[in-house]
Amino acid sequence: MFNRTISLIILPAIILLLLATFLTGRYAIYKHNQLVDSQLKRDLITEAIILGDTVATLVTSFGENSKTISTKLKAWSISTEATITVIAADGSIIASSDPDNQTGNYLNYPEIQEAMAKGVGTYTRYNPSPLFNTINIAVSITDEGDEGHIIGFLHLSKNLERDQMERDEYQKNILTMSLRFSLLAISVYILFNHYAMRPLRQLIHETDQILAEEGTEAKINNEFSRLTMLLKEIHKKMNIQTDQLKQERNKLGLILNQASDGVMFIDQQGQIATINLAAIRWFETKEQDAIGNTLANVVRHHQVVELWQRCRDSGEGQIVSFEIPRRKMFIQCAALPLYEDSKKFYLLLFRDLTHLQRLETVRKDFVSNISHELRTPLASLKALTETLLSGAMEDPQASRRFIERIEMEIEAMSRMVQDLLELSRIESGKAAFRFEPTMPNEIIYNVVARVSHQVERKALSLEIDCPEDLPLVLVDPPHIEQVLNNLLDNAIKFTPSGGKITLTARKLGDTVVFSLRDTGIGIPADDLPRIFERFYKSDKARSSSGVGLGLAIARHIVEAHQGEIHVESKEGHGSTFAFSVPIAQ
Amino acid sequence: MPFVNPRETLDRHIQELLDEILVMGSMVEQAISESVEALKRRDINASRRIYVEDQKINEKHYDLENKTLTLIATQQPVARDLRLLAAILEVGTELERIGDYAKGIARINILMGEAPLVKPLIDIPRMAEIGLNMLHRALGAFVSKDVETARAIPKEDDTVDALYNQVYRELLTYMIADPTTIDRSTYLLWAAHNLERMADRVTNICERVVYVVTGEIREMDVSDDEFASKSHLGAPGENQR
Repeated sequence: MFNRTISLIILPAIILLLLATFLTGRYAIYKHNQLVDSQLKRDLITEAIILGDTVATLVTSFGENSKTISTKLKAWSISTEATITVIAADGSIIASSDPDNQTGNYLNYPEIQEAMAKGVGTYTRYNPSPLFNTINIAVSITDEGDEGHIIGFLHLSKNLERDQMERDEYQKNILTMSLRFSLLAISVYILFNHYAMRPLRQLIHETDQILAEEGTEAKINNEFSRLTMLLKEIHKKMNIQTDQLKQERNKLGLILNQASDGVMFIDQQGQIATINLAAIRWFETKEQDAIGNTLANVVRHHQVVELWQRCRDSGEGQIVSFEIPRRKMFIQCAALPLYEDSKKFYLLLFRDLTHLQRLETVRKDFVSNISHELRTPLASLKALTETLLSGAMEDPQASRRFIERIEMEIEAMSRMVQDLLELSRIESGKAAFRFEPTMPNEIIYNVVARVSHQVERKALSLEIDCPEDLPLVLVDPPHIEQVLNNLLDNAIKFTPSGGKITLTARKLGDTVVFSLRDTGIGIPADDLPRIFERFYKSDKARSSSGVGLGLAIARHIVEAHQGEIHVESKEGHGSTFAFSVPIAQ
Repeated sequence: MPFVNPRETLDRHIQELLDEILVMGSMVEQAISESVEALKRRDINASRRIYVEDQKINEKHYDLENKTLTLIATQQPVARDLRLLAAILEVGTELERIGDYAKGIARINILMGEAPLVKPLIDIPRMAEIGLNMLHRALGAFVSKDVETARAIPKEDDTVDALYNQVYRELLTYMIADPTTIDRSTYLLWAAHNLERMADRVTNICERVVYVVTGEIREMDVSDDEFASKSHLGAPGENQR
């Protein structure tokens, strides 16, 4: 209740009220005194005049020293409650109601002087002790004549004691009543204030509570300052929280945009609420175009739209896989419903499975290739052995022929298995490479010697361009010869009769580049990126033999030499294979 | 129930129909793409799947028609909205036809059976690639009422026509050189023809876009003069609508 601030509000009001009441009271008393004073004087003067006339008549009738006059004076004194004295023109006392007042001269009394001048004179005589305060009235008595000169005075002297007492009584009353009324007013005011200020007090109370909870020092006396401080605290806290939220959101946004998976949030109407960078890239859109747009408009793949619809209708997670042909990507999409309060959102996660799918394809191709490659020789073997068992064995010449063919088939299969093993060895790093400085043309010479027979048989022309001054290269001769061999094999295989194969060697930087150009059927653009894969064969009709390992082996060997291998080709116009090996330092 | 602005309702329904067009477009694009792929790889099973999936495209078309007609009946749109809804019906039909072309190509692959291709497929896949690109952008332009793009796309139809001529001539030489290939060559020719027709239909869709926005129908056949000025050496089936 004794709240400093509220007290500060109430106090001035109370003080002013008291002040006003006090001043009003004082004024009332003052005015009343004045009124009573003048009233008293008027009354006394009237009495004095009347008595003065009567005395004049009495003196005329009975003479100055008449007992009648004294008696009359005494009687009048009782009714007027004043001391009445008749005074001669010279100031001496003729008669008085007060027996003790027989001598003295009144002439110099101010009231007498005044009466001499104006006919009426008043004077209040103050004694130290208030008991003797008197008010004195003097009235001049004139004779009947026209001149009207003064023959004497009538003097009234009233004791103001009782008058004073009455005044004091009055003053006390006024003061008491005004104080009472003031107190009443103040009480009402305070009470009223108490109720009116309740909300404010509550506010201050709550403020203090919150400040106490926060552990903030609140030694400030002024409640409103405390309130201000609280507001500042709250504002500061809010700003911190906003900043934190912003940071969180930025962090999440960063994570989303760094993620290698595509992420989208879809609302109940199928509009995109959020999309991350990966998804923007894959679907070739822009963030501002995507947000607020429908899923169908942005993704343009019916599988995704249908997936989301299924998810929305069933309320369960769904998955689908689909291709983006334009980007040659294989994507898996998962849709999950999310519930936030009463709003439904759907999370779409896109995962790039292109790589996985490619591996899967490679594996499938491999298995199918192997089985195909094995089937043919095995079928031959079966036929041959069956024929032998069913009678050809008896004929030595036929047997010999058959068994020779069996040997050939086995040879072919062994070669294939050997290739596989070789590749596996190279890939796992178990193959041993022994590098030594070698002459490039030595490599070429060895390989060409081996294939010259095939070249001739197919009526191809093989041109070699290898300068004599090429530096030595750091290679493992048998392995690098195998590379060249495989490339030549392919060139021979895929170049129709009458075609030309050109083998070139050149120095390039700190490597020597061997390139092999043919005028064969070329490689389709779609196949080019995959040509060095294991088991990858360009012609799907499988019209050629071999399991598709030649280039894969070549690549691994070249890479083991710290070199690079490339291909350029246009379908129908031939191919150029080139690989580099380091120069021996 | 608070008052729903009828304009909003109409807009929302139209947006849904446009989404349906895109979904159907995606199905059709996939069908064409896969049918040509299957032909290249000689994958009979894939072609069979495409053949059956065409049913879904037809159902989608039917569903779209129903929804569009219902919207016209209930909302009674006028002016541009009406043109748009009419255009949606048209585009749906064009898409359904293109879907049939994909089905046709799949059927060709099945009919050819185990027989090898007379020549490796280079131009036919190229026709498909260009045509699909045109279709994809045309549908995008239709949905976003992009008149500029819609006007630019039909020019690419020339490339498709040129490729078709090339295929025709090449197959002709094969047929002349070896009559046993007539059967397979004709199949391939038919497949190429389907793809050429697809590009034509995409041009139709582009015309519709302009129609919706401007209220005008204008033929956007750019190479009319080629046929008029040259002699008849153009392949039959060229520049037909």
